[in-house]
Amino acid sequence: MLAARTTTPSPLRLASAGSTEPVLDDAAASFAVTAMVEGLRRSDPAVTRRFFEMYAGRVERTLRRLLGPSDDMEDLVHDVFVDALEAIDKLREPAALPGWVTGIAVITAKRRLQKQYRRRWLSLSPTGVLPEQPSSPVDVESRAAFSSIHEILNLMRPDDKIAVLLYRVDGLTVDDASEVMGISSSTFKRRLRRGERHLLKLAKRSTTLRIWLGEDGRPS
Amino acid sequence: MTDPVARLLETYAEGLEAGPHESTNINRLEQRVRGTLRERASARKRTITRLQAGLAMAAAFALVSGGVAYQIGRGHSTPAATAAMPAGEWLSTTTGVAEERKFDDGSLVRLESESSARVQFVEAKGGLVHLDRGAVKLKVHHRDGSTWRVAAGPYEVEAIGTEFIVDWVANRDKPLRVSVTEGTVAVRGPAFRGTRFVSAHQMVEVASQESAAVASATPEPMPVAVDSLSPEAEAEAVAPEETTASAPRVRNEPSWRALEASGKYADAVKTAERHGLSGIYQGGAADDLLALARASRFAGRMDVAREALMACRARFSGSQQAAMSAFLLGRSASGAQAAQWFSAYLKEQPGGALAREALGRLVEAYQAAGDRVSSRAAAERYLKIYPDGPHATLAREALHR
Repeated sequence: MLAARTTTPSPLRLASAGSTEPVLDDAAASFAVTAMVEGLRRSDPAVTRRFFEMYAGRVERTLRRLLGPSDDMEDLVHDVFVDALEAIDKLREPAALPGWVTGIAVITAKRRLQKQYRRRWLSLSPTGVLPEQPSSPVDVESRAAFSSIHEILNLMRPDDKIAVLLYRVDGLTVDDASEVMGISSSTFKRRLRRGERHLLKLAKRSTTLRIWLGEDGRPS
Repeated sequence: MTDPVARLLETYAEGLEAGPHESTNINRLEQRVRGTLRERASARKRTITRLQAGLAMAAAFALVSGGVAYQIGRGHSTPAATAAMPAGEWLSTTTGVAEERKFDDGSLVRLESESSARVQFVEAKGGLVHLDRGAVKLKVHHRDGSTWRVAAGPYEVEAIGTEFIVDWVANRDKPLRVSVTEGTVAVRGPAFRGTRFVSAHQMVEVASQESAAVASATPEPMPVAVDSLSPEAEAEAVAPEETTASAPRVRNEPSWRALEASGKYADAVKTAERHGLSGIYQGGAADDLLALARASRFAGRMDVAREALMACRARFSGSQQAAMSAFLLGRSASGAQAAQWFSAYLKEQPGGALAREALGRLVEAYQAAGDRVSSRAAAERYLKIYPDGPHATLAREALHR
């Protein structure tokens, strides 16, 4: 039994990517996405423009959720779109475009995380990356908790971290998350459980988060 | 909420959403992506054009060398036939007959008489020749990032320069003999406890000795001595204190090293990843890191190769391997970055085995970076030291630009 997530899961395949998109039924959405893929393959400028408009927000959100605050977010989004447009001819199932783009974003994030993870020992900080401008949660306690969670997530194995964040924060279903990670559902569940255990273990070692969670491990 | 993980991640998600992040500027993103795609497309086009030109030159070279071989062959008793050599082919010669084979990249292998060898595999930028017995002469077509290796018994000879002969007879007093006519080669094997560089006009021989120390699993005689090395090469040999640190690792050789040694580079890298690359970066000997970099390069994992080399430089600063890492980093970089690495090598090993190569490539790198002043300076330095070196023509061109 998988634990509760923080956001509502949304199916990837036929989901419209931008929040401003009108609600379409499955058949219409599938048709629209297929038409977009055909346009991208023809290098149609208007369709390509629409592709950027529809997917930039999704890609940026996925990267931000997986990597946390990053100074080079724009470069990473750029890399995802370059990879996607270069490989668009290899997309077998046009209706799978949304999940496929998310998959490229996940791979891009994973590459970055693996690099950070391997370089931890060479870096001055334990994680290799410090969030210079982490965020501005409303209160000091939340800000401290956020920073601690960010550091802990960066100590986790990249695959486990991605599994936890895709499921818990990005709100993907197990099937969608395992698909974008290119692994089986059972492997995904294993990584998710391992990641959650590791996250909780490290959180309980952190003074800030122990207080945040309460003495008995429950949230205060 | 009772689920602590959910609570933690909710806090994290809220922090992310509340954090300062600008929404993506679609116009700028689109322009940048289109620009990158255009650059990549034109780079691919240039590569194809260069490849076509290279193939045309290789074909012309094959015709000319075939003609020369024919002309030479008419006057000698050992005609050397030149033909393309596919991977996996065994080649054997009898008394008085030599054979030549050409690889797709323009490199040439000549199997001397009474020899037997096989091209274990060929890749885009090099390959591995397994020498079973006899002598093989390899003339490597000089290209950025190309690496050719000859495996002879427990030894491996890697071409860093261009022309060399490996002679291997397992039951001879001195089973291995490597002589270099041009460039530099790196020799590895049980007699060396590390990497031995042999430069042009030098020869290294490994003598055998029946000894109690011979490993039971090794049927070949244990090579123990190295002869005929110039003082320069001796000075560049791995220092004893560096080798003792890595000696115990040889006994407990991790499986990725075994895979690397057998030419299964992709498997070697995967195995190393499973064992943990961080552990190798932190705890591996300098030669382990160079081996990992080599395997990664062949497996197309340039990210791992680079990190292994960077780790080697960070942890073994001042060593011969660290300088070698700088050279290899330069070889996989381009322009100004490559120039920095070659300069670093020359600074650390001014009289090193790869100094000539590094200085020549430094000229190339400065040219690629559009730094004419530095390119001329490097070219002048090159011609002063190596007036007949392989980069001499390029250096003269750089001076006259």
